[in-house]
Amino acid sequence: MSASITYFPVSNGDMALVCLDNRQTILLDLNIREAADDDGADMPDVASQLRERLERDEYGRMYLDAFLLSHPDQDHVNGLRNHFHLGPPDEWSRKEDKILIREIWSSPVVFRRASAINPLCEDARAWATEARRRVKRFRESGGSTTEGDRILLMGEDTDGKTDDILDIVVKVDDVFSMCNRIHEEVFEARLLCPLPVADDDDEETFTKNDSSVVVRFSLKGGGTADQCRFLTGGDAGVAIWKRLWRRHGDTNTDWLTYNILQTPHHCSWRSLSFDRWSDLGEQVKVDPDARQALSQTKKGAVIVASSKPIKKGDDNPPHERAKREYIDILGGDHDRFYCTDEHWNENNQALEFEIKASGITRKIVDAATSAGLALGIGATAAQPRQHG
Amino acid sequence: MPGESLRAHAEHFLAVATRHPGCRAGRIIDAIKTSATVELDIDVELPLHMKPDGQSPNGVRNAETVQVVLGPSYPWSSPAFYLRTDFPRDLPHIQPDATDTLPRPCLLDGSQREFFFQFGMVEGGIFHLVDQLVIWLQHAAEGTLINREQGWEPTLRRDLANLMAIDAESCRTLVDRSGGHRIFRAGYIRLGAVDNRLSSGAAAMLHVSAERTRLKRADNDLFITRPGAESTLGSTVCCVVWPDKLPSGEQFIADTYLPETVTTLGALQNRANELRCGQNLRGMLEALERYFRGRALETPVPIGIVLCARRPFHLIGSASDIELLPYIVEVRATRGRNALFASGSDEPVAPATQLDVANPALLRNVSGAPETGSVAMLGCGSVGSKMAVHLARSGASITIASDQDLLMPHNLARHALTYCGPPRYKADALADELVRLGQEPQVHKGDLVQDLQSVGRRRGILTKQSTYAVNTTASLGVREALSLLAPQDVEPRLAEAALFGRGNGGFLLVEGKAHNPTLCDLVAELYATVDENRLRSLLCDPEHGLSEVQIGQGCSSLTMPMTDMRLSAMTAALTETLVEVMQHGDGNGEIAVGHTAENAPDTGWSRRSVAPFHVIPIQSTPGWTMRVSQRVLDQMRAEAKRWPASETGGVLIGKCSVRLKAVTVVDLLPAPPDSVRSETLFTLGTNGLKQAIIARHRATGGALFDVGTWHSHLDDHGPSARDWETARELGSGRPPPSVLLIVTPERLHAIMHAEGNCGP
Repeated sequence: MSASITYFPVSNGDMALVCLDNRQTILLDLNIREAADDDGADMPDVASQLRERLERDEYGRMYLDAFLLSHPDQDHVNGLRNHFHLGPPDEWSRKEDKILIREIWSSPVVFRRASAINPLCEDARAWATEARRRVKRFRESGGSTTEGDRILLMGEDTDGKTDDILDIVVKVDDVFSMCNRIHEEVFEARLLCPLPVADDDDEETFTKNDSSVVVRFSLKGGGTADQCRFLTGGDAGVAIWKRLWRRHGDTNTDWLTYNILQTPHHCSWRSLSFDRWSDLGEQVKVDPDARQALSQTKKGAVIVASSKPIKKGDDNPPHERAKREYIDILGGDHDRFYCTDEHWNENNQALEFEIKASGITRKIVDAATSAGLALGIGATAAQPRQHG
Repeated sequence: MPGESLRAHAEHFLAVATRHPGCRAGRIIDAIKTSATVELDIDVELPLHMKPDGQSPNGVRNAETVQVVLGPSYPWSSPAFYLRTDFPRDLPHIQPDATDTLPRPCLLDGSQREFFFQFGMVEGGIFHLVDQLVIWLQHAAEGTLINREQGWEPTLRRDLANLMAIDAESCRTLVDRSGGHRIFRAGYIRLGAVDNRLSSGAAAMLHVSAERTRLKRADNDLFITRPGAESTLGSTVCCVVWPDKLPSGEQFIADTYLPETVTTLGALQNRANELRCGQNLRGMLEALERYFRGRALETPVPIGIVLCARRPFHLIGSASDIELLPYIVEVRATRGRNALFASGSDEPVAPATQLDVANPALLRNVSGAPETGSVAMLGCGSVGSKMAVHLARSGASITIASDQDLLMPHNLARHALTYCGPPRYKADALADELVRLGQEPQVHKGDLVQDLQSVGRRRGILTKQSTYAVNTTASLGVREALSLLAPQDVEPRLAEAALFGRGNGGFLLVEGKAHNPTLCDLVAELYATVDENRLRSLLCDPEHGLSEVQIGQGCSSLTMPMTDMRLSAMTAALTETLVEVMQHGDGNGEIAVGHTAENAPDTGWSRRSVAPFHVIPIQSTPGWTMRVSQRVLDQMRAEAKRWPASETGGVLIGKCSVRLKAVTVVDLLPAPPDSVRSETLFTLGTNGLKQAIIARHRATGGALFDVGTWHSHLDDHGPSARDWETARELGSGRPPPSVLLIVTPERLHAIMHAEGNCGP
């Protein structure tokens, strides 16, 4: 068997699927845009791409074993209500045929009240409601929840609010290795963030982005443990990465090593530097600690920006200067930096890494799907053909 | 000009190939009259940790330039792909060509030309071949050209001139954990002059027998040569060597693919060492030297050596993890020789292609058929012969071929065999055919109906070695003779396969465990439960049934006219069903029945399981039994439940046989409306009953009729005086027996008037 990580082409947003070496699946964030949301019908149909990778259970329900939401922003939770079953699992409807989430992995930030500085979109509110329902269910059931009712909280909540449910809380810096309560040694994950609000943080700067869950996974592939390490961190900004390096840089640098890094915040400049590009242009300085935190590469490591195509002078994110910095981290090897939308445009296929006994390999284009396109089938209809 | 047209093809090839996402660029190297050469730059997607090095540890680069040669018959032939001259050659799936030619990747499991043609458009073929190349290179870099799920790739052999026929499965069964070797007698044909070596003009073919031998000095007929004009025939030996265990005691696994490079005895010894067979090979060669000490032979004798390599997982197309590597080396025991192998460690050795000897295990593997029990074939007519050959070809063992008839010219219309010599028994002819498939069937040529009733002869038919015995005789006599047997006399499970309706219908019956339900029970059950009009018509309509056909002057045979195509189609499906039942059947009986659609060969099949029949001794008539289908008993119990306060009943429908002394009940007719029910008496009315019985009789083609009555008792009392009186009345009314069945809450009682016509 082999494991895999698929980055769906969702423009500036995150959506990645991890398939473990035992066929369990973990979704990291979600950004299924409706055609009306954005620029029309030519968007890749990522909902179908996701569904064709999932299995159904004995009741015919398509399911995910786990869904990790890094933080409750629109571009990380978009499409939740339309595509996922929310509420008690026995209310799943065959007619609607939505995806059942066996276990949700959520930051405790969703329990905080929405406010002017912490507004929540509809999907995020639905996530928060579902998370509260599952925590309630856990308390009611005395800890024996079933698939569709399960939840893991990524980090303790402030003021001891999670002290009575520590069985479903992963503490920061701890390792967890169960997915949907199943422990088959197919992965280990270390929770690095959310870090508690530091004294010198003010509410203004410590936004939802900085409450992002940061996890370093270690995956088994082709039967070999620790075959792929990957680091994912939602939209965490430069202050978070700086703090992570200060926290672990001396003793635990290994916690930050990766074969695959998903750039925080869609290759944003704001994850690498405190300087404003608009003020300083090429004079900006990268924060050395944040860079260190994001530079612990293993041999042949790759960096993935989940974003729209990266162009100079375009809106941030993604930022072309940030891309340059990441390529520099890769020793200047452009071929090891990927942008999800660019990959889609070139290959008509989501960016996927297969983790096998022989190593991690980017999945090459499948002939069956590419042949028609490459051979120009349907090209007759590509433009109006005038006939005299 | 031909060259021009190849150039045009090369340009077209290049245009399509470079559209593949894995093909970065390409160019035409040359285009002459007989070939065109194109170069393609292929991007190889290396695993991430290899990318910084630009190549894999085994030497595959992240960009490989591949030569493609279009031959003179292109696009009617596939393009050929060649790798750079220094591409690593010690990988699997590389053609074992000479080292002075460019390495050729083996892109496909199967014919590359067929693959090239498979996509309709030439462009599709080109694109998919390039795709195979891209995938091949990626797998080469990952070291996954051999993949566990597909199986271990057997070592590709270059030279087809030397052959060795040997039973691979038997060889594999020799291989144990601790290592060893074994020597077998073999016959050989050697081509080429005496002076020719295996490396220069000589070639040999060995046929290795299953007869084990030792290199004993006293044994003078081990090596015999009979030189002819162009070839030498003779006898020799073949030595099978398998790997020693590791010092730790664990079995040795050869998990590295080694390309075939053995050309000399020294290289063979090295290869044997690598496979941990070295010590045993050396021992065998020394024994050979000792044997030949003081002996001389005029001509060289080829000797077979088979190294068994234990692989980490199963071989492609086989369930076994043992790969056989056969070699041939020549002994030159001339007078005044210096050594038995003239050139010592430089003595030429030829890798041989292994040919299998037909045997059930090989055929089963090739067919992908499941392992089934062994089958005694009762009847070697057209259905029986085809069924036997189908089964044998998929590796099932045929233990008995039984038939008392001769194979006649008219039989050839549909028989599996095409024999045309002096008359032979069908059983003998079929057995001979089965021997060629590696079977060892016994032959029975007696009358089955008689011989099944004789204890001694029956043991030769229903042997313990058979797990199933299939009646394909279409003989009701054989069916009854089989059904009559006591359960303890029936070692194999009995089955029957037959066609009807001119081959438009067929059924397979399989008895339950402990000989219940019997074949006769199942036939009755089949007739009772046919609910589909076309099937009923085929099974029961006299128009479709057996009819007599003139075959020779004054010679007739009771057989159905139908083509071989029809018979074969139906028999093949019946055999498949038999295999399925042998695999997954439970203890119940089985009925599988199929029939074609009207005017079309579409065939629908249905299959169901039949619970054991209730066998009730019939009181006052010793030896007679009543056999009641569980389905019918359920109906009677349900009807009795509907009348909890009074007796109820109806008419029993089924068959009876004086030969079997059995009345079989497979259906009911309800009590007519004028029947009267009370607490102690049930009176079966008559209104419309006779018509109903006749209609049922006709609907089953005369197979089923009224065999008596049944009625319920409210308590567990047996037959009353009135019941006996009614039984007497019923019995005197007609020649076939008529039974009275009493269904009490707990028990069943069957009575029949002893003076009725119950036969002897």
